[in-house]
Amino acid sequence: MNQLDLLSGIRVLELSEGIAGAMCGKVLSDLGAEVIKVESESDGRFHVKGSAAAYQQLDAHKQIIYPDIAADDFLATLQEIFDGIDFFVTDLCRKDLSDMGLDYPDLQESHAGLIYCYISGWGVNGPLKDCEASELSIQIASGMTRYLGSSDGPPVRQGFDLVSVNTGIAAAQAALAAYLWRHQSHKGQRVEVSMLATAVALMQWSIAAESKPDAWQGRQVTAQDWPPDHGFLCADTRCFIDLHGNTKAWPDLLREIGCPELAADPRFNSSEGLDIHGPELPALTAAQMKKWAFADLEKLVREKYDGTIVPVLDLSKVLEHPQIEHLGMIIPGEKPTICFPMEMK
Amino acid sequence: MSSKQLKSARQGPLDGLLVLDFGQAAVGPIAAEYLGMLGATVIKVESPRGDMVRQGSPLMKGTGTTFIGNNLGKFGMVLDLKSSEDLEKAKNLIRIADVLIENFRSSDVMVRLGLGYDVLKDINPDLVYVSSSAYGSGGPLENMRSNEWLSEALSGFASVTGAEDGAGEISRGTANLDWNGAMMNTVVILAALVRRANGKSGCYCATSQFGSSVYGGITRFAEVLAGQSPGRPLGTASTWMAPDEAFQTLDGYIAVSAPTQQCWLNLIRVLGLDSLQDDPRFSTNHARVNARVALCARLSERFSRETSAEWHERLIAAHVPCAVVHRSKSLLEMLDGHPQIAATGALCRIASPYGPVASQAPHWTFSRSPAAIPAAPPLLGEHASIVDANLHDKQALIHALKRARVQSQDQLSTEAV
Repeated sequence: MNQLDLLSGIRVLELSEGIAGAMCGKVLSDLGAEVIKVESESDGRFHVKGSAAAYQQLDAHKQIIYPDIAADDFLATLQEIFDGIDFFVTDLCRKDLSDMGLDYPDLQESHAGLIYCYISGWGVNGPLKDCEASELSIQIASGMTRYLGSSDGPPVRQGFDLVSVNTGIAAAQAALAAYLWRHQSHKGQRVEVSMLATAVALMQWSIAAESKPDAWQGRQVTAQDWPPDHGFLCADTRCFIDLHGNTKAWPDLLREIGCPELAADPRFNSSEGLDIHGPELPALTAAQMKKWAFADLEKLVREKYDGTIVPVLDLSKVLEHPQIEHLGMIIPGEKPTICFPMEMK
Repeated sequence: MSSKQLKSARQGPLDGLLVLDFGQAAVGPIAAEYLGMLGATVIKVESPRGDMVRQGSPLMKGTGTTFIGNNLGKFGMVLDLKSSEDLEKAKNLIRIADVLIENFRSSDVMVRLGLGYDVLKDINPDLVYVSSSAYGSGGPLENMRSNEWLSEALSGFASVTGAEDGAGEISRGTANLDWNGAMMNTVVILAALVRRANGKSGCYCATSQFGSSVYGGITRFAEVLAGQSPGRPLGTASTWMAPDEAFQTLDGYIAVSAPTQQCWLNLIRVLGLDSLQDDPRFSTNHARVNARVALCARLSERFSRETSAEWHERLIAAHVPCAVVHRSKSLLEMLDGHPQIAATGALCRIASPYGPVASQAPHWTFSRSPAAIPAAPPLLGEHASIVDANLHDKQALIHALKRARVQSQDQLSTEAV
């Protein structure tokens, strides 16, 4: 994948502790901005939590600087760095920023064009505004976990850190939108995103579905009570099959895999039936499915029914996938890095 | 809002930009919707049959809530791109547009329609053209179809999601990877607009749902690239922080995390387990991750003694990240009842011909160029005559569409009264 240069010339100062802040810097850096990240070598205020693998990816192409926080001229040093900075990205708490003279009011006058990008967990108002947040607590609070696990068992989280990652992306969106506005108005401003608001945005599909539906139909409003969906287990992998609304093909496919009794079952030969009972198919076909090798099943589903079938891949297999290689998403080297998946011309 | 108010209102950062949404379903339309919240004027271009999710369940007064929720604030027109007359109209519209986004399965669809970037860049060199396909151009999966659940399986999401030591699972009723893809498309468009503002021409940007899904999992793929195992379902637990999971209480579950050492110390104080402070197995986050089972046994015993609400109150007072797992209420009841969502205004209701629509509010706050809660989604072809009458003048078109919006909103609020 070619090195992207959409944001060349833009300079970013990142002072962050969490994933969201680091992700914002990562996105801007991947898109061509110059990102300087302030860190402390000690266990001080900016200490990155542990040596979590995530930061090896998120901070890979940033210029990391280690100012001495204890030094008398620390503030002066940092203020100097601010000259020529377009975006200041931070997820520190307001009080710490204020103590360092880095709250927006401290910088607004001396750096009128600065776009001050503030990332919080729960938002800047309300009873939890000063509380720490975590990926898990926001996933739970926003309802993202309601459609996983069994409804009478312990909760299950989404295995990707989609809230933190997308909060970082949202912060980059806000900074870039403010940059476009600055281009017209010649004024900087403070922009703000939160993990909670981002999680609510990610939940829009389910939120709109519950507005006032004519009937409680559709998986957004019914699937909370379904059992966990592990897909079909064939001889060598778990997999998911989609016949793209071609409900007439399901009875044929069921017959072909060795379940003629299900093919004749009204639960599985109409779209109304499949909408409700489709999730029962993996259990009901289990005995026959395990006789099928994925490759044979794939051929059948694709060629005969024009359907789509994909295996459940583990994370190593995804990285080795020829399509990921084709997209050029991994920059090889001693420390391979994941880059922004986009091609430009 | 009266037209006078409209004029004096502070405007979003993308005010004055014209966006054409040739998308369907999710990743394209949602990105266009976000641009609308940022102040752009967004025209949804549909085929005579309309976006396929107009018919998808659940419905509100006969229209799919997926369509409603993904197309707020847009203006609607219909073009049959297989007719030469409408194709010409599309080109005229593209000539004055700033952004075009499409999310056909393959980018070849627009090429076949005669609207590939090679054609359009001659019509409008300043156009930002985003093609958001399923798997990208070329490669073994090029023409395969995609949706949320296929993405969750193929991107590895399902392999690290599920009950601890159970089989991986997909999310049954959310489409967060689709939304993640839309978030990616949005940042791409904004970056391309920034490039253009800095004196370059427009450009063509190709994203893919597969690529975006993997990028969305970057923190987990980082573990593999750092030499760790590929991960497995862990219930609510995480691989790099402990505690960071849900505990059973007297009446349900509460999720608790300790992202800093101070949070850990505060947590054990609240639980009355101060002695753990001196236990070398639990002295650092790294140690706690390695001793997670023993750690959770100690914490679980305490959590089981009281209700989730009681623990929540004390943990919040001690600044420990936590959230109560609510199961009995519907999603909307749960969100509406969350004091933080109420206080931050993250959720809103939008008047529409289908009734009030629950929606996210804009997920950014701007101190000087505020984003706006969007208006109702368009009826199929609702604004076609306005577009037809202003095909050659962007500013006139934007102005005429905004005027129509004010009128229809006045009408909706009158009906509501």
